[in-house]
Amino acid sequence: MSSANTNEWIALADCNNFYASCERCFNPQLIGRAIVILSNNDGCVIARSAEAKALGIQMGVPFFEIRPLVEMHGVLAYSSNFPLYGDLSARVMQLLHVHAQEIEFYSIDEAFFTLPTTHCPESYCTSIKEQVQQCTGIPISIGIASTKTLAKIASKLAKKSRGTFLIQEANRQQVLENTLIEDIWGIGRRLSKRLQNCGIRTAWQLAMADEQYLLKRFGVCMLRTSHELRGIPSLALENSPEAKQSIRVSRTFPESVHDLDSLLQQLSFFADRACQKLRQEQQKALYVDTFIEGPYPTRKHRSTRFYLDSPSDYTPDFIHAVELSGQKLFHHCEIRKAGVTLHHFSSKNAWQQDFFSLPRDHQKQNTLMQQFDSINQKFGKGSLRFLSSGKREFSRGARLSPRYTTSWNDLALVK
Amino acid sequence: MNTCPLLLHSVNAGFPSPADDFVEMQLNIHDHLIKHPCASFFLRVGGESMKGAGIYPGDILVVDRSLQAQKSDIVIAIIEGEFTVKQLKFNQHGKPRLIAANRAYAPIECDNIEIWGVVTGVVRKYK
Repeated sequence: MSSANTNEWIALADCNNFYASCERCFNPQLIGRAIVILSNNDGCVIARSAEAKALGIQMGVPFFEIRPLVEMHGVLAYSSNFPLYGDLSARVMQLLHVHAQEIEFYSIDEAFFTLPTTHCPESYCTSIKEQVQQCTGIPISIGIASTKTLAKIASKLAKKSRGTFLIQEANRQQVLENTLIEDIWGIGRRLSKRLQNCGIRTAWQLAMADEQYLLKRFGVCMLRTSHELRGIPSLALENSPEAKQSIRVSRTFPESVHDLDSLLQQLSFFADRACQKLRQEQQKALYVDTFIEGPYPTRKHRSTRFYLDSPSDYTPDFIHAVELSGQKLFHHCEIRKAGVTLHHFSSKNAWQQDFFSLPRDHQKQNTLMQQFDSINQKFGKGSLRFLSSGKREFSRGARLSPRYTTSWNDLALVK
Repeated sequence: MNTCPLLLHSVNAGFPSPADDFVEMQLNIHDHLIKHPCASFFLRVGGESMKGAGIYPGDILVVDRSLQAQKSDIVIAIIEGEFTVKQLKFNQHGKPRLIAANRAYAPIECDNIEIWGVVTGVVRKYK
């Protein structure tokens, strides 16, 4: 227990097959069955239960490609039900929060947290795991170590053992020798290729690599990772997440789009949704990227960028921008997928400081968007829309399970 | 979500409302019904097996998953992949039994009854 006294334990709690587990919470018939969850408009597989993984269904594969497999093995496919996943995530995080000294909500299904030093870390985390499972029905795994990068490795091992795994000085070398470079947090495919070319193949080799060499060849981030693998904490828990740097809304279309009008309607709808998210974040954006993509297998990709005169969160500004972009990109070919991304954010509050000196139309625009958002909040997404985005219904996916925890009409039935 | 009183009455200068200093949070039925928000869920009744216990079709059950089910608790159990609401009892050998509050339904006995949660309240709306 050499490092236990010098620094605190960092745990990473990770929900097992989170979306699939959420679907099972209120539908016990799904326990033990192969489930996949599909992206918006039921385009691609974004989550799989353990049984579906065992059938060889890959992450991100287009749904139509696995149809034969789905029919043969009776795999159940669900549209993504984010109201349900979001609610269960909030409950899991709240329960973790109670037991944590400090906590960083890393994603919808993962959180880093520090443990009180007075406890045996493994038994403490086992009791947290059991409590989360009992209260929410969501199974979780917890990896424990002296740094975030090691905790991430421990959480993967926790899934293969009894749901918790502790990396300490006694077993660190053995664990790292058995961890491949591409399985380390923050090291993607490109970096792992470069590391392999330098003869660094395992996490242990990276931990033991020469500092100056790493710094010169790979930069300071790699040096930090190496320190973390040695058990020297170099990444702090982030309790106040950075504001988003970009907002993207894209869809794979259920049926290909062939004409300009339909494309512009779709883009306008994306811009509308992206701007709603932008205002939620209290930000303004300066430019927007628009892209279109052709059909499988070539997926020919075209994109363009449009700068506004000044940062904005006013939807019509962006609808205008993406319509011009769409006209520029369109070339009478079949389109399977399209999307928009807002970039270069500045804080809305920076603008509001000189509220009284704003030109009148800015004030009007602000009021209009506030009213627009509050009506949509009150009466449901898409109640109020821009005419340019057409008369489309808000798509909820054809295979959506009930919103068991967020809609009175969707409560689970009890016999 | 709690409600928050909004003081909308405009006050003429010089005449503050005597009630302003005594504003409290309005009562929220959620607080009364739910002790463990993270672990509590609403389920809707779809059968008549618990009529005798005052649980009717269409009622909303408040279910707390953090509680350990005790003898005589009304529980949500999973039987053949479906949710069922029954009273939990034990026979003389300590085996769990699920008892309906309606003569038309026979008790359910099996070795591994899976308890999903404990019913802590029932909500019924008349209008």
